[in-house]
Amino acid sequence: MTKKILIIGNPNVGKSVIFTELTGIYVTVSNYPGTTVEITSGNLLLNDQTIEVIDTPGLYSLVPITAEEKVTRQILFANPDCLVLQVVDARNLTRMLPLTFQLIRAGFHLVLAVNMLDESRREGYHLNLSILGQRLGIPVVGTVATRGEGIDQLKEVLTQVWKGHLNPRSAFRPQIDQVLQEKAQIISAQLHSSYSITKESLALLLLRGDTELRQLVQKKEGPSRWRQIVTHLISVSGLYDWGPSYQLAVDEHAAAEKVLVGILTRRSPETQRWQERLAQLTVAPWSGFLILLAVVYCGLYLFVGRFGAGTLVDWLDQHLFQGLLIPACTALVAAILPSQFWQSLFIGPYGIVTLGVRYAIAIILPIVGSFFFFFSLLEDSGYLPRLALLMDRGCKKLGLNGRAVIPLVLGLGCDTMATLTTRILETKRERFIATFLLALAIPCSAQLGVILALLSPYPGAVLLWMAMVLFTFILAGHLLNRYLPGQVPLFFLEVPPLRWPRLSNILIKTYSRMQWYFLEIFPVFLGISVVIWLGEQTGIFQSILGLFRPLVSALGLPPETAVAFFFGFFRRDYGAAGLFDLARSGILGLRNLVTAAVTLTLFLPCIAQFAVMWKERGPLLTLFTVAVIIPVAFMAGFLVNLLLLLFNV
Amino acid sequence: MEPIPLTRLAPGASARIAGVRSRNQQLVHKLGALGVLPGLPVTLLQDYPAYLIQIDQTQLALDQDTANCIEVLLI
Repeated sequence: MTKKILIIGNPNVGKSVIFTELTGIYVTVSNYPGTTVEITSGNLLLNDQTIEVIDTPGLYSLVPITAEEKVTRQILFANPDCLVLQVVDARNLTRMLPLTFQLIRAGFHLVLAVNMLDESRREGYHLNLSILGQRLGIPVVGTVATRGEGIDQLKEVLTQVWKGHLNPRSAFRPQIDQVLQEKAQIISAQLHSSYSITKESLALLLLRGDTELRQLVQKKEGPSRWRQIVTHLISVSGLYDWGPSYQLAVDEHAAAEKVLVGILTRRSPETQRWQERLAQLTVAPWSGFLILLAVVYCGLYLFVGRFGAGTLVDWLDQHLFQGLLIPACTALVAAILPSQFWQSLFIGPYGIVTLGVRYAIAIILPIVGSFFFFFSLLEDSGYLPRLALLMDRGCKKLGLNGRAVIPLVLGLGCDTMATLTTRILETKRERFIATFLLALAIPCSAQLGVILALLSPYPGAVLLWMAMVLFTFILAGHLLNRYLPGQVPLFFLEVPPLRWPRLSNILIKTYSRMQWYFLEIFPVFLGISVVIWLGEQTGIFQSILGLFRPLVSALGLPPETAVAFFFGFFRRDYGAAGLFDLARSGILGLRNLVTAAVTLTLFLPCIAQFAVMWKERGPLLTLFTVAVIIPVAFMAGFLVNLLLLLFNV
Repeated sequence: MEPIPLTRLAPGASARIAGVRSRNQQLVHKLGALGVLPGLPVTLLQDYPAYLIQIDQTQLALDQDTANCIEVLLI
C-alpha cells in the first residue's frame, strides 16, 4: 500500500471537512455538488510517517458522467494501491453503500467514514457501526466532522491499517442479477491485459455501458478479443427494461438494504426543526422568491455594496492611505530619491504606491473580501442548490439550466474564478453561453461595489444601470440559445438540508479565496502602475488614449475616462477603481456616471479572465466573444447617454 | 395498475417509484445513482418553479422534462 489516502464520496457528505480535520490545510468546503473543482492535497502525520491526503470532487458511482466525476475516477484508477477513505452521510447510507460495494469489488483498500452522525441521530436513526464493519469486511468509523468528533478514532484506525492490524480489503460481494453476474465472469475471462482494478469489476463496468473503459479495453485487448467481448455486451442490452446499469443499481440498493437489516433502526424523528421549515420556505414559489430578493438585497447591496465598498473602502482609503501611508511614503521617497522622474514612479498620479498598492488594498480587497464572505455563507448554508431550483426556469430561456446560477453568482465576485467554475456545467454549449454571459454582463464584485457606491445616492440611476445590464444579459442569452445548435440540458440536482454554517469555516474560506485573489491581482496592479508610468513618461500612453477619446466622447464622457476604459481591460476592477477616483474628483456628472457604469460593466473582461477563457474555451470562441462585446458595450453606453440627454439629466 | 409520470402527482402526494423511462441512458444511470429506484416511496414536495421530490432522506430538484421520465405507482 502506498502512503496515500484518497478521500472519495458523494457530494455533500463532508469530504472536505474530514480532509481539513486530517491535514489541517484548508480547502473549499461546499454544500453545492461539484464546487471542489480543483483537487486539493495535504499531509497527514501518522506515527511519524507523512501520508499524502487527496480530496476529490464528488462521485456517485464508478461509472462517471460529469467532468468532475471523470476526474475523480481517473485519480482512483491511477492510484490502485493507495488507501481509499470513503465518506458517507449516515442519513443516506442505503443510497451510498452501492459505491462502497463497487470500490470493494474493484479491489481498493477501503476504510469507511460514516459522517454526519449528529444529523442522523436527530432524524431518529440508530446505527450499529461495528456490525456494519463486520458485514462489509472493512474498517468503519463514525464521525461528526464539523465538530471534530471521531477524527482521533479515524486516525487510530488508519494507523492500525498501516501497521497491518486491520484489513482494508474485503471479499464482500453484493448479490446481483444472475445473468449479469455470469456475463461478468465470462467477460472477465476474456480480459488478458493487466488493469488497475479487478477484472470482475471492470467487466461489470463494461456491462454498465462505460464508454471510456470500452475504448480502453478495446485498445488493450485487440480487435479479435474485443469482438467477442462486444457480443456478450450486446447480448444483455435488451434484457432489462431500463438497461443493465439501472438493473445493477436496483440490485445494489437491495443489497445495501440487506446489509443494514437489524443494524439500522429508526425511532420517530425529533420534532421538525426551524431549519426544516425555513428550508421549505426557501424553495416554495412565493416565499422562495421573496427570500431570494432579501438575500440579494442584504447580501449584495447592503453588505457588499454599502458596507464593503462604502464603509470599509472609505476607512481604508481616507484614513489609512490618504491620511497615513501616502504622506509617509511621499516624505520617505522624497528624502531618498532626489529625481522627480524616479519619485513619480512611486508617488506620482500613477505611481506604484499611490495607484497600484492603494487600488489593490484600499479599494478592491475590501469589496472582494466582503463578497467572498457572503458567497461562502451561501455555500456553507446549502442555499446555492435552492437558488438553482428557483432559477432553473429562468436559466432555461438563456440556454442554461439551474446549475448555471453557481458560476453566474460567483461571477458577481470574480469573473475569472467563475469562468473556471463553468466546468461544472455538462455540455459544451452551456459552458460557452455561461462564459459569454460572464464576460459580457456580469460585473465582478469590484465593479459592482464601486458602481453601487457611486450610484447609490441616486436610486433611479441604480435602477437604470441594472435594467440596462439585465436587458443585455437576457437578450444575449436568449439569442445564443436561439442560434447555437444543441439542446438545453436537463436539470436534476440533489438539494442538501439547510445547515447552520460554522463561522470559523466561512472565515477560513473567505481568507483562502482572498489570498488566491490577492496573489493574482497584486503583481498585476503593480505591473500596470509601472506600465502606465512608463507610457506616460514616454508619451505612448497619451497617443493610445488619444485613440480611445473619440469613442469616449461619443458617449458624452469627459476625456479623462479614457484611462479607466483602457486599463479596465487589464483588470476590470482597476477600471472601476479608476472611475471611482474620477467621480470623487467631481469630473463626472450623473449622466456621465450612469453611461460609464453601463459601458464599463459590459466592456471587455479583464486580462486574467481573458486568459482563462482562452484556456478553457479556445481562441475561436474567445475572439468571437470579444468581437461581440466591444460594439455591444459602446452601443449600450451610447443609448443610455442619448436617453438621459433626452430627459435632460 | 398502470404507472403514471411523476408530473401527474399533486404536490404533497406520495407514490411508489416504478422506474425511469428515457432513451437517455446517462439520465437513467444518473437518476439511479441518485436513488431514484423502483419500489421506493417518493413524495412530491412541490412542482413549481421546479419539481422537488423526497426519497428517503434525499431531496432532489428536477425540471419538468426530467420529472416526466420518472414513473410512479399510486399507493
